[in-house]
Amino acid sequence: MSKVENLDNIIERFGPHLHDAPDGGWRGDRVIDRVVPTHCPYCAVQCGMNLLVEKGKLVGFEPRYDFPVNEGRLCPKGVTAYLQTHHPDRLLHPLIKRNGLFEEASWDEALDLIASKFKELQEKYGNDSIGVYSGSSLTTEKTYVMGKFARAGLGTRYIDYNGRLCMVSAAAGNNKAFGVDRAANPWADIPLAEVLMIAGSNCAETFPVLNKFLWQQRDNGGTWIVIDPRETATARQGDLHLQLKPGTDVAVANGMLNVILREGLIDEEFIANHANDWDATRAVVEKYTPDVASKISGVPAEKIEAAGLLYGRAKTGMIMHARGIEHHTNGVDNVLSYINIVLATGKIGEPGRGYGTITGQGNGQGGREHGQKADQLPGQRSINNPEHRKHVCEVWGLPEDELPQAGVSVVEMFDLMREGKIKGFLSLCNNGMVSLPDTNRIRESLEGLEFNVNIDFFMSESSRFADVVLPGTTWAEDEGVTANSEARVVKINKAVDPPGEAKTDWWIVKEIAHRMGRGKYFQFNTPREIFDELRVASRGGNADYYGITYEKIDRQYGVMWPCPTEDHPGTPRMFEDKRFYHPDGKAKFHAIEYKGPAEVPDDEYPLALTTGRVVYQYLSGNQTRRVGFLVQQCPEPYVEIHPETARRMDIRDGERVKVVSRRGEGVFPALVVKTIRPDTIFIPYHWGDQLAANQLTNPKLDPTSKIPEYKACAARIEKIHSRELPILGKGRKGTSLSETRQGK
Amino acid sequence: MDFGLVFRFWTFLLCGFATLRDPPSRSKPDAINDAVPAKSQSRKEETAKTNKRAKKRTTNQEGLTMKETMFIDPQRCIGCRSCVAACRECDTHKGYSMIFVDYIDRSETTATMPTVCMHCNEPTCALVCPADAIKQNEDGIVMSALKPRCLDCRNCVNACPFGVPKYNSEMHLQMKCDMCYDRTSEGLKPMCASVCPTGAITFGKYEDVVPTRRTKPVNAHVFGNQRVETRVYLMLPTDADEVTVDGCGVFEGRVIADGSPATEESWIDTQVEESDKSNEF
Repeated sequence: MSKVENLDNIIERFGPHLHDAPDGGWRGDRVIDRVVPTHCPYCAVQCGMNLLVEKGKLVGFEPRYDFPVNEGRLCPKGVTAYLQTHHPDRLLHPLIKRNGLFEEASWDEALDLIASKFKELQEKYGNDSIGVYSGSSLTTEKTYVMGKFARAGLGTRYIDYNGRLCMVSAAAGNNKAFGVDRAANPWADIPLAEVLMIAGSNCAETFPVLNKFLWQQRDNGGTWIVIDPRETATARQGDLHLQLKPGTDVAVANGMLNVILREGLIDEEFIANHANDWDATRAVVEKYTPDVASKISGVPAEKIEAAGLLYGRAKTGMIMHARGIEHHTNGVDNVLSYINIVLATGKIGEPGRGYGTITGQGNGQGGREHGQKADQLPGQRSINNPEHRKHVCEVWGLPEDELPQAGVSVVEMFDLMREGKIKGFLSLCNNGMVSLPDTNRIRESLEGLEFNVNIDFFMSESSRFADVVLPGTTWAEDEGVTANSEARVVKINKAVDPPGEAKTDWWIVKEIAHRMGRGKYFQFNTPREIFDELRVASRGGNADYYGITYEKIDRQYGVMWPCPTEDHPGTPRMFEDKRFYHPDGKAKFHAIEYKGPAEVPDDEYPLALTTGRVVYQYLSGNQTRRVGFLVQQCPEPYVEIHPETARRMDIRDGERVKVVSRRGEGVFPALVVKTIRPDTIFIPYHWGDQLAANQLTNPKLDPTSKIPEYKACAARIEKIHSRELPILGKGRKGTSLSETRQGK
Repeated sequence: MDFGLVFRFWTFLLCGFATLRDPPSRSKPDAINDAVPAKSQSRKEETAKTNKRAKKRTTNQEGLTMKETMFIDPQRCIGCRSCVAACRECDTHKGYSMIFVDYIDRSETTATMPTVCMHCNEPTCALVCPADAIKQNEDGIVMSALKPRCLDCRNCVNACPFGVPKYNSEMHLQMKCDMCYDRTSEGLKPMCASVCPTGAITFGKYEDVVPTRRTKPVNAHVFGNQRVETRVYLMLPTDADEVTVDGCGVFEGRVIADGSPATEESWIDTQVEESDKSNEF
């Protein structure tokens, strides 16, 4: 059984501790042996950076001015990224939990134990009793290996990835509307757009370097429409801010399209020749006059009107969106309602006219293309399609009847654990105890497992539950490719060797497969060999990587897929011929009615709670909550409350209050700000245990994409008359709240 | 009275909460088609290459990087403090950051403002130094105090109207931004301007930067009876030729606007800026 005992011991040994200086301290007299050009390990801008190596250690970075996407720019996470490589918290040896304590073990011992336990469980309960949960912060090679490992190595149908918590609504929406899942335009198109509509994205904090393109657009005289319940740094810089109630995007988008339609600003020619199902959509949209939309969303009708006219009248324009509209039980609907605006105005497939989704994780795009998603095979192929199955089985040399059918999404996988259907678990590149909704249920799921294996380079809140923890590598210790948010495939280069006995993730998985007698499917020894197999496996699929090579990536500063042949330069802009990926070559409108979030505020829980990110932390914080500089800037989560709401409840700025939802509660300092709606509160989610915003969130899923509704649930605030102040002043230096609190 | 804070707040008022809007005029940057040279292998090569580019840019101009300076555009600042993190990486800074990013008033707005040394033409810090420890080099860059000369007196720390220099009590030395002299002298951009995602801090030549912006470069500041001209420009959405700070209305971190009651600063302002507001590292 996988319970966490001796938490104090675990924190003392594995952190989170703070580390804030390069190896050997800050020195001015370093002799740099090597400068390794690579990319940032964090978000999907995948900024280029040069890593400085001295005597086999990573000691700093140097801006990589030559990489065209960021031209040297980085956010604070990127600047301090190198500090994680030689962090004292790094896992250096395989760990096996005995009597509640993690004991160091040899690789053979740990791997043999895993293979024998997995075999035992599968013999007893069937192949599908093991679940595999992977991630999108991995290189594409690793994500490909994880998909293949689950299907060909373990023969289980249950594999999914953490892009499920991130990108899937956009992916499903793109597939439904365009027949392919990719941002349609390169970012170089952004400066060419007169109007930019940014829905549900605080890209100033979550995608900082994208702002380079946004400001280029603005310097060219462009305008931004920002749609967000909070006046974020992005919204503050915008021209028109539609401050909607969380989860009411469909009403706003339909309202804007209603204005565009009324003013005759639609592109009749495009609709007639290149898109289907307009009439049904038109009929629905006609109902959403600005007044109707305003009543639902709380956005003044004039603003909806103004936004519709701005975008509709502009010759060029782009719509971009992110988690704000996607993390909903109607996430796919939200995405489709914005795509409807793109299609109705025909603004697609041309310079400065287009559409894009702002991905999240570094390899958010690549990680969802090559077969670690529950229903997907390499090259964006479907596991339900007999032809696709045949192609992949041929490449793998796997008998077709041995290829499992589609599995389920990760939240459903955790449900199956609680039901006792999944008994064994292998997790890589994840921290579900922070990132999955309704943490208390997730804990139950993990505690119920018979055998739990975790691969990570730091002991995460979730790794603590594991029976075996294997030390993996950071991004600087292995090579491979990632695809950024514009589907530009870039190359991560190895700078240093892994510390201690840490091993690359693909090696670990391959060794487990060999010990389970499935070694013949895992014969590679380098990432390049994996990539070459992946190229063939993806050949002919939507995400065709066949023509991409490591050398070509270096030469061209990235290659945008599809790239079917070696002499093909890649495809920066999609749909230039106005042909879409549906069989008839047409795009598809979707008539979307407003449904609203699964849980709306009521008398008992009168506020809408929405969660999100801060610029200093990355996802579940397992990497960034250990870097001194980042923790100093934001040592703990807080709850943003509007002064009106605060006054009503007699809450003062900085006072700790209890936030309660139907699923759990947590105590956070109040940040009283006018930048949020009075009916809404906001908590950043990067922390675990008592500080987890996800103790409160609603695990209800979108019916199509199975994304949980992180961005809207009902909550209330209780005054607890706490005298404890937020971590202030010098107190934040050297303090990680998750460290001090849990240590108690 | 902290003139640095007064200055930052005043600049913010000039910028306003909203952004300057102008009728569109178009020039087309196209990052994708920008031909970029092959990747670098060493820092030296990197430097040489950037030098070469800098030379190319400045054909027909006297001097090379010498004429380049910093442009601070508070409108663009997203408060990410990437500059603060990157400043520590400069070889001569030994992990100390010489740049500050302040929330203007977090309870009202997410607006933030970066402050670097403005590199005054007649630097107050150097004027008040009894030991003549603060030197301006031939390019007009005001350097950190010379260690053998610095007397620990902190005159400069207290006198700077922008609130920039700080005293390092461990090293017994005044430290301030020297526009990354070790980098700029080799033709590299300063760390903060290299990493700034939005261009809120930009390093370049006046004639390269100003035409691409819709804001006005201002480098004259009036503090009471003192008029200061600086090498660094503020990019402001204003017609004014100088920034005037009279100190009225701002006192001890409390803002008194038009007779309305004093608003207390949000705790998060204090949380993030505590070190910025003290005069010591």
